Amino acid sequence: MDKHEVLLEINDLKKHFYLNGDLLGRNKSVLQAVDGVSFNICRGETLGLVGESGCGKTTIGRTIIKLYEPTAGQIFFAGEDITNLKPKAMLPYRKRMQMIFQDPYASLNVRMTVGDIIAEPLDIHMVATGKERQDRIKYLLNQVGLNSEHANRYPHEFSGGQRQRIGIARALAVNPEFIICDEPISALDVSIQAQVVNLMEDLQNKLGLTYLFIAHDLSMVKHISHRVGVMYLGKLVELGESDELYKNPLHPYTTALMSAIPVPDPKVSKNKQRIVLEGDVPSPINPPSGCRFRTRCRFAKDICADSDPPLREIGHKHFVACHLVTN
Amino acid sequence: MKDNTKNILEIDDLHTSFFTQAGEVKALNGISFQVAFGEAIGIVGESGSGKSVTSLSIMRLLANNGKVTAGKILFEGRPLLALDDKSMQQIRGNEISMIFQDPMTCLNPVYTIGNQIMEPLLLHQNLNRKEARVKAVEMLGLVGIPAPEKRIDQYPHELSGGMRQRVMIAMALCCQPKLLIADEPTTALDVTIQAQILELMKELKEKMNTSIILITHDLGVVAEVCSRVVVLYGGRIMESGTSEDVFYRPRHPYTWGLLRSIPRGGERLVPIEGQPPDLLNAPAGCPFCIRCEYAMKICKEINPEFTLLEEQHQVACWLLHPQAPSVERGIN
Amino acid sequence: MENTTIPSLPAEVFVKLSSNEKTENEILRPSISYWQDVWIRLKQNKLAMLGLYTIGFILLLAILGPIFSQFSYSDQFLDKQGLPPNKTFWFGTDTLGRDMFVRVLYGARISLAVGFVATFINLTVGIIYGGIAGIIGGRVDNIMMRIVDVFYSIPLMLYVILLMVIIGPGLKSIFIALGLVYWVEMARIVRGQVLSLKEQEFILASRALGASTWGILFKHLIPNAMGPIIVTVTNSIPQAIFTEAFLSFIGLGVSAPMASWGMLASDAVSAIRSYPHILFFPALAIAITMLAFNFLGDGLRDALDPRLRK
Repeated sequence: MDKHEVLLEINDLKKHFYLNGDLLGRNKSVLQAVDGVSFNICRGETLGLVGESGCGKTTIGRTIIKLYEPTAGQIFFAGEDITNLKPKAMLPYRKRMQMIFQDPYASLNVRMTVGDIIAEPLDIHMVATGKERQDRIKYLLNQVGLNSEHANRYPHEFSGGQRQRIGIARALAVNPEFIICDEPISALDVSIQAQVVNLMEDLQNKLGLTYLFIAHDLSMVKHISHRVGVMYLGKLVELGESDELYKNPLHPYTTALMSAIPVPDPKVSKNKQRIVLEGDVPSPINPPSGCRFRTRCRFAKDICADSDPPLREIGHKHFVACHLVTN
Repeated sequence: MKDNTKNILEIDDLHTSFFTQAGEVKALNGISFQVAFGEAIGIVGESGSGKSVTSLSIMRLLANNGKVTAGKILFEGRPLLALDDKSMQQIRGNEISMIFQDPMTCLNPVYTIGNQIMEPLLLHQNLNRKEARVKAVEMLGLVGIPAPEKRIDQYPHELSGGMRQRVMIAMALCCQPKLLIADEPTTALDVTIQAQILELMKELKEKMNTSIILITHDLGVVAEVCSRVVVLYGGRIMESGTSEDVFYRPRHPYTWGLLRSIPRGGERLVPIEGQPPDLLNAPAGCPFCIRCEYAMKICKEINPEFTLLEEQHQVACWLLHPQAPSVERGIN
Repeated sequence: MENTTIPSLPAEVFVKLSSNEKTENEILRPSISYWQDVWIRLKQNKLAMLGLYTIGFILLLAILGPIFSQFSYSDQFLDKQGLPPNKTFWFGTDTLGRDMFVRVLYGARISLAVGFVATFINLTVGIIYGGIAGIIGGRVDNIMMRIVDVFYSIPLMLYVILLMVIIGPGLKSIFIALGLVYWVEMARIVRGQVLSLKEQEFILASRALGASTWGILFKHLIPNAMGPIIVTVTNSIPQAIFTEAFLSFIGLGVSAPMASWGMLASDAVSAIRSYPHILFFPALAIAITMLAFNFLGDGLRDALDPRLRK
């Protein structure tokens, strides 16, 4: 991290979805996908966000980039409040923040050539036309490790890893400062994941990019991120520097999560003390009162049902939301 | 190792191809391995390795344009490929069971889970509906589903992903098969649920003495559950041996590459360059040749034979030929 | 598998390969676009291609046939009434001595014109209506689709009949009537496609890039929905032809002496016992045309379905 300038800040961000309801649209149930999350990301930093299904990590990524309108809370990009901006006013910001998606097969329009896909942001923001546009496409393809002659081919002719590179090239087209990566490697083979992760790290060093890296592969997240946040049912339960978090997890959910990761080492695996959580993740439509993790937590006390623990700084830059963790 | 009385399954030089518009896709190009009684063996591979095709070939569930073109599969000494459809049906779900990756699409949404568990029981075990229902409740309890008498009448969409996978396991094990093939059983599940399911599988293996073939791309899962590992690439076996052999003493460049691609410590990952294999235009020699940093002329032309290292550890690589140059594992 | 005797090999085979040597035999398959792939798959479907060629043939006949015929559709040979097919009159003559062959070809012009024009109108209105409903969603979509439901609550044929009675007979009226009614089917299909495609990741990616709603509709959604749209078009054409035939049959179609296939059939009913060939040929023409479009439509549906790609 070269600078300590805060590039992205979210403050008590909430995104609720309203479902069902009766014929007249009353009595709808509320899916609290993201329920009051705050963090900031400094320029040049990678913040990892992990959690399991229903934790809200994908929703939060899409809300930050305003694909979903926030229900409450604030989003600041480079100090400017973008929370309530209308689509037209958001346009200049869309040049500065971009997104990479999970499914390399669904995130590219199969009817368009690779060149047109990559150049779409150039066309939308009217940045380059004609020869300049062609040159930029070639440059971007090379930058992500693809052959510039591939510009006239169609997505179905490429493998998953190559398509993900095309998605990255598209995100880089208008020189963004901040990229939200929504599970960018989950759908790829192990040997290809490493290629894409290395590419992303190289690009970060070369172009000074800032990443929000959302994933469920804990080992990969630790590898690429400077800091990691753990989410559970719409709330941030722990946040800290990668090494510290993995070496010294404080929240009971984080500890269970860490111990559940299968280790590719037979001896370690056999001797590992595994904390196996009982039951399933509760529904985000009807989350437990107080601390949402209490129904599966082996340390749960009465206070956990009464009030929702706030995120407090326990160690150096290490934040935990748990009543039972003290300094 | 090849003692017939100790092996429940023997695969010998299996070749499976798919005949498509674009040509013959050689999904399996001569694989051989054995599974002993009560053993859990892991088949590790990525896209195009042929790992799923192996399980479908054993179960004879290949798509219409797929065919086993050569080789033998012996189940308890019986040649499976020679059986007719009816005899194969007796075996499926009964003596050899399979569970699949996506519990969402593998359960029929219009039948209750009770009905779906009872189906193999009614088919194979000559029970009447009442007896089958009792057994089904018992199985649901065995796989750790709370309040099984109530859950048995629920529909798949009312259960979570983890629970659906448990139901699949219950369905697969209710006739007490001797061999369970699990094709990426936990890939679609959350990490904490995956831990539960793997614990369950280990427990049931002990209890029922079932042999397991676990197909996965996740080396961590393999290390946790399996005592032996087979590494597949491009339809051929690259390396096979005990877990310790493959994780601590690997000798094949592909295995080295896989182990280096996984984050360990803070070092930069060393990926395997290149793309997954093109099975339509398979090279004459070793399928990994194009991506291998040690590839030699002979690798391109001739497929390497197996070299036996330790008792169960064998590797198919020309680097092990006495004339080949010795290499340092890994660069940097 | 034991390494007892290992044959000795020449030393040079153990020389390391350069990266060029590794990839030199890689075959780069030619790039084919989605539509080229569809065409290849369609060509393999014999029935569909038969349908396609038949339609082409009929079109050709309809356009060029009457030009080369010695008779016009209104020439009457009162001494040659009701002749069965022979060397001069390939399809025979009708009760007024007119050449059936030329009349059937003219009928083809009218019926096919109705089929194509009406379908074109349906296509345009349907895409716009369905596209807007699908992409805006919410209450607007709700209202728009309820209007469509109201249309559907009564058989569409009834609307057409009513309109024809109000507007009056004639070819232009048929275009208007068909165009005002049958677009609802296309609208439903397009809306359905837009709804299902809207949530796909490549659409989200475009929105994240800053694409406008209309840009997304016309650049991404409609092109990707072309498959079902085309299938619906190939099924709408015979539907329009048949509707026109039916209207003519009940007397609401084009006016004499202009003759569509339906008119020909209508005229022929009264003479069916004495001169069955007069009904036979127009009916055959309708049947063959509709079958051809249906085969083509089925073939297109299969060729466009990505899941059926082998």
